[in-house]
Amino acid sequence: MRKACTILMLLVGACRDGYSASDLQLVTAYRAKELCSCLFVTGQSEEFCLRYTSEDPNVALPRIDRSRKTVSTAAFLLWGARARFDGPRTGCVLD
Amino acid sequence: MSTSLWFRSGLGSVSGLGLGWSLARLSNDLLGTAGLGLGCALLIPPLSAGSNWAARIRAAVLHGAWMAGAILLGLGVHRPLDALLFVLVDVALLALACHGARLRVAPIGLCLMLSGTLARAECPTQAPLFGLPLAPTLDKAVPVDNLRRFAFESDAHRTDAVVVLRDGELVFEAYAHGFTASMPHLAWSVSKSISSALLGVAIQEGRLTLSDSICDHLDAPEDKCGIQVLDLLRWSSGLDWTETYEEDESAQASSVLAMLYGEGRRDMARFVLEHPFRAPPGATWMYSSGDAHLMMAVVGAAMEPHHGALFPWSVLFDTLGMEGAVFEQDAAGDYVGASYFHGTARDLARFGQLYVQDGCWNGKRILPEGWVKDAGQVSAPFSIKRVARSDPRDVGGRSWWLNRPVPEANIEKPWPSIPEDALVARGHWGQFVIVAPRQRVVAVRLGEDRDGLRFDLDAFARLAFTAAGVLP
Repeated sequence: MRKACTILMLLVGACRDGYSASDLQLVTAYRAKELCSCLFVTGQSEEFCLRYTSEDPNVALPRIDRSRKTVSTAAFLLWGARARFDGPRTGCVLD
Repeated sequence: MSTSLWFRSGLGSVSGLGLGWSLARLSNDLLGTAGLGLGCALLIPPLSAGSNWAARIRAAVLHGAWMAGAILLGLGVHRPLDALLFVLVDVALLALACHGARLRVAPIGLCLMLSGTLARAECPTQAPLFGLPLAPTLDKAVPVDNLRRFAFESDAHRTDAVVVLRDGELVFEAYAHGFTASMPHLAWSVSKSISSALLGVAIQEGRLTLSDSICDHLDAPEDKCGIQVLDLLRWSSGLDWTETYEEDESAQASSVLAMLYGEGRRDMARFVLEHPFRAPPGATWMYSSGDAHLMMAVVGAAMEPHHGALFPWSVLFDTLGMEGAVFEQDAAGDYVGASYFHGTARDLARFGQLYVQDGCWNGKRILPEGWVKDAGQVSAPFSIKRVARSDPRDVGGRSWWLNRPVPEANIEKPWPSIPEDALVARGHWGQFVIVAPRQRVVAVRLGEDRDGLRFDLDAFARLAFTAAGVLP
């Protein structure tokens, strides 16, 4: 029940005042970028990185492409982000 | 023995000593080494007349005492007035001691030798870091064990890595949760202190000054040209900024989240510059990732034309041997100086050691003279007016956190166990680099303190400093 309320608040939050990016846009971008950095910069395990970048509620679902070194995230089909590994010195960047 | 012969033979002896010293202390300071070598080469032939060894020893002691006194007084030949003083003293000494043709070459050589010697004394060569194997002696075993238990066996926090150095020697190192000595760890806002060091390098190279307007380096709106580099270094741009994070009620109101993950993420400097002023530049202090990012964008604009896009490595990280350093950029190509430096615990310890060594590395000055001391002074805008501090005990310096009391603001020394002149770099979720220049200790702690976990920095520092042997 608590999770459902929080998700509802996130969806409502998409219409709130403040900066233009909604909470769901922030959450998907955060997870894409930090999951990319955790996997391809830090070199931690996928299990560690999925836990490290999870938020409560965990609505930003990731898709990891290890061959291209990219991480895409999506929430409720409407919000999403993509981060790519740029190189061993400059790490990951959000598209 | 005549005065002339006394000085000539004495100086000849000292120059021989200087030659030996210079060869023994060869380093990458080309000017210093060349000065010593040329000085000795010019001095030895004209001054080695005479065979009175007692006189030579007396002169060597006299001259050695004078040089040591100059070093103890803090005289440095890189300062024009000091250099002039050396030249005058040398010429006066030689005018008393020498006659004829030898006077023409000897003063030049002696000045060069002294310049080189004292330049080297200002930035001494150090032994390679981590040159000794980690082997705590018996008297350190108990303190080291206490530190290990506190850092890694508590439920109150979650530690990933700890490294403690004293005099560049590794006295403690441990890892957890899959991290190792070679794995970079996100440093979050410790990046701000690292960015400040890159600014220091740029100033040392003469690429910019603290009083430069940001418009001298960036294509900024005209109304923002009153912001100086110094304002950004000490988080006092006056730009209206909300420094809140994911655990705060409204992520959407957070300027830093909007910069990193929202509409500002592609060109963060541009996003920061779109904010209106809350106060005139330099008038107030407010911790701001926007200021830190803008500062790093200015540094990049000043350094990239001379060193290329990877300048942080060529001017700092590679010099310090920070082999795991990763510094992420935004899509516009600016390093995210507020948040996105990754490094191993050892990399961060090396960075701290640069500050222990007053900005010198292997005999070469990396940061401007006085940079480390100034970093540890309470920022003037902080003393005047503080806005929106997350912790009322925070004391802001120049992109570092300080441990000094601020009586006019009723702030006590934040961490009783840490020396008052220490510098603390601090990042989200428990990243810390503590630098204690007087004790020559660096303590690095990396972790993941979230969801109610909290790290007691003072308790950690007490145990780390005890393990390093500087606290009982």
